[in-house]
Amino acid sequence: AQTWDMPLPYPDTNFHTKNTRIFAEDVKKLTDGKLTINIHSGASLFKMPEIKRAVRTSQAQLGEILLSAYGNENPVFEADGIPFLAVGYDNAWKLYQAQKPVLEKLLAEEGLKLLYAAPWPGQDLFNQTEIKTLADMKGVKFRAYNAATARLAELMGAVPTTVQYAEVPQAFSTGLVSSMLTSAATGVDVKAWEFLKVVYTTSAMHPKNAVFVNQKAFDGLAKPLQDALLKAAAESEKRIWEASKVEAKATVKALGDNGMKVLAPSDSLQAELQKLGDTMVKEWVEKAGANGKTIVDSYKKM
Amino acid sequence: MDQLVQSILLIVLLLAFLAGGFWVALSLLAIGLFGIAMFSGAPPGIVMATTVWGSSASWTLTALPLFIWMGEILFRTKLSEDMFQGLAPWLTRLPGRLLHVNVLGCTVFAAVSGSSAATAMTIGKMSIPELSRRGYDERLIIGSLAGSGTLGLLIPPSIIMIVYGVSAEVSIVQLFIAGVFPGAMLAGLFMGYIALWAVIFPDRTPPADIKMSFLEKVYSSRRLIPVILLIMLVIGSIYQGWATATEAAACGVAGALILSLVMGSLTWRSFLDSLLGATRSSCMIAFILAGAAFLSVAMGYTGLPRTLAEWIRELQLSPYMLLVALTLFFIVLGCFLDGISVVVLTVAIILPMVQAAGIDLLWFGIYVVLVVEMSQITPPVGFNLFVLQGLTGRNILYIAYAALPFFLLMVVAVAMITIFPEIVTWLPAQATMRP
Amino acid sequence: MRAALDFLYAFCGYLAAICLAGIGALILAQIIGRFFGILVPSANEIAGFLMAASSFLALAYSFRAGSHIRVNLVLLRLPVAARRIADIICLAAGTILTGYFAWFTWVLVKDSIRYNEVADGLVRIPLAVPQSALLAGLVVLTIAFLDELISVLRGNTPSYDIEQDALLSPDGH
Ligand code: NA
Ligand code: NA
Repeated sequence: AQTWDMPLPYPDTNFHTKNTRIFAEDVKKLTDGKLTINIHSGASLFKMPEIKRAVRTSQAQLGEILLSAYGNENPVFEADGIPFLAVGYDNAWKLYQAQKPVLEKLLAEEGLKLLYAAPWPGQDLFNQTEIKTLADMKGVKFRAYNAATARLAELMGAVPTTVQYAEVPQAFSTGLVSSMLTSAATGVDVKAWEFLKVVYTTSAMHPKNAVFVNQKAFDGLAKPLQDALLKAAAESEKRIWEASKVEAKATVKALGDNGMKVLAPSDSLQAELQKLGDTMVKEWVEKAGANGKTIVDSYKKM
Repeated sequence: MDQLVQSILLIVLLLAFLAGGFWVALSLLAIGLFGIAMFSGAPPGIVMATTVWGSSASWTLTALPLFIWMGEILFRTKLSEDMFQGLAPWLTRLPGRLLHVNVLGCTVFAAVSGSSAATAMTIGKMSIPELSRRGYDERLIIGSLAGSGTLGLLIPPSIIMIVYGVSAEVSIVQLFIAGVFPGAMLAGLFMGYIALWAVIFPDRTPPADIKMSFLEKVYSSRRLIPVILLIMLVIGSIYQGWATATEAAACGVAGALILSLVMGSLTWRSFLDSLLGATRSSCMIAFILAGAAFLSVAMGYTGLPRTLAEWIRELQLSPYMLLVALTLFFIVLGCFLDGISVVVLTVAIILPMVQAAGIDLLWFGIYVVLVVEMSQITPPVGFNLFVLQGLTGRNILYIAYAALPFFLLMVVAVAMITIFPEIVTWLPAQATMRP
Repeated sequence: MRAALDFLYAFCGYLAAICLAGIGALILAQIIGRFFGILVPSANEIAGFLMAASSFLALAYSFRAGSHIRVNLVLLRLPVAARRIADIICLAAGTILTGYFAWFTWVLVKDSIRYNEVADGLVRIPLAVPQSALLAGLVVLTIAFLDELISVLRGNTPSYDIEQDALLSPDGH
């Protein structure tokens, strides 16, 4: 019997971690206990920036990361982090299919094998006040946590302000920042209602987690074990895309139940946002080069 | 119980390294390497490099050297002396007199700094020379500093609360609010102990040297104004929304530099000395933190904490007994790992158990902070012990012995918040009951 | 040789101090910049890197200043000859361990270069740059350990015995 280590960035309460735990149990069942996956949740073994390296260098056999966090390494990783490129789950799935071949190739160059990708609920626009047009965002301090969100803030006329995830509640409570683009799930995690009033369900994009395995470790498995692992991964992918939708509904509802005003963006606002999105997509394709063009072209054909 | 043998072996080895006079940080690294090489299939060398890099290049950690630098600047101004002159007249009637400066100073500084080591170091730098010159009992000076320094974790802002809040998905703002009363209570317990000790051993407190009228006292308090301004600047920067809790440390450094410039004690020499002193101290602490982070990763590979926690879960204890068991578990773990590692490593395993027992996660956060505070002053790996060894040159067991009463008072505090959970939960409940 | 080594330790110590001051300056710039709506790009990431660089570049310098904590309980009670042997063993073990550590940090840096690892956040900072500071600090620490080992073998007292930061007189315990 073999035991593999799998570092995860998110804590046990997170729906991704819950699903990955089921995946680990499935692997154990399907292999009759010949392959056990030891899950280290909540960045207890490696933190997010180190997880890919850890799996590549055989410090762990499996790992899960937020793909777009690696966008600086290669723009392909942040395709799903570009706002308004793919709005909603159906488009997110299409984008994933378009992105997948390139993604697999890039990961393979590092000796990693992509098992599956798991989407976050759509990113919604959180704000202190209602927004009629984007002009209302002018000068608003907007939380930027990567290049894409900083650029979005700039295009909106807002002031990009960097705040680490852990400091979000305090930064909002004291007015250091007053607006952000994030998923309802994260909104619930940070208890957004304690410091924000309005959320627009823009579903601007669905960033994905990627679950991958060290190719050498995978090749070292007997064929039946390899098949079992892939089967469990396929099931896990199906499960998490559904679970993510359920999570999206539940967390948006929770935001409302806790007193936040949950609004759909007006058509004109959505159109304004979409226009910004188009600019960002154009800029991203320029940055991502041939790979970017391949992804966007095949996405648009679907 | 294969893992029991493993853990005993690792502990014995660590104790042997430490007792042999091997540097603490290097001992932690060596044991981590040994643990991974012997009890897991992972490549130890590269895991060490990766982990140490990941834990050292940390934004949250940047507050630590800055607060230490701020302390070094203050130490080189007349500010620390002024703080004593301002406080002394008010404390002279209290049994224990100026020893209370340690507790009060740490309590106030805790409201500025999020770390226990920085609190103990800053206040210690200012108070140790003054108190020992006046002839106060050395053991109590050291013990009260080690104990009160840990208030840096309980009184907001607090690094450990941020770590717990992120891991347990509990509101960090709520945790901060919840820490206020327990922090004040613990400070009260410490002061009570010092007063009681002074009453029992009256001849071991130096005589009062000040006789002042109330107005004279108020007048002499003007010397506290610079310190109060500095504290207001740091706390204000957080609550006014100018800075995050981490960034506030930079405001503290700027404020301290301006103050020492205004007071005329800032020279190129003193600036350089303060900066180099801070560099040495924070290097020492950061290197041990890196070693501790690596050791905790090694523990993660071997699965020891998980096994221990599973074992506790299988006992199927009642909530109170569960808390007793967990307290013992945390105290043992806290002897060998640093607080942040303890939280990161165990929260994932223990929270489900705690939730199943019907324990409120906000309350549990404060409980965890308290037990982590204990770990700061338990040998062999206790950060306040290291800080005080660095400050005083006394050996670590002597310091731990001096801090023992304060450790026991923390146990009392844990008992009190368990019996009266409202100490923790009342204030945050008030804060959320707004329309 | 002696002068060159001492210069090396001090130089790295000063570099570390500059990194520490840099953290303060960077964060202040970020706070002040916010008032005027100016974003200092990647300030948090760079501050974290400076933190790592400061901690590691200062290693040898603080080692020689006696800042690194060891439990000297047993050591102080040993007779002079035994104490010398204990010091030699500790220094030899320290040289091996820090050398090993430096080697694997080199492996880490090589891996970062090979796979083009960059920081997340606004600026694409190659991780190999801040990691090199770690490597440099560890290499210099290894040299300092070896230097100290040779010096003690020649019969000198260790330079770290001074405890220059202690505030209490060394008598008593
Ligand atoms: Na604090
Ligand atoms: Na301890």
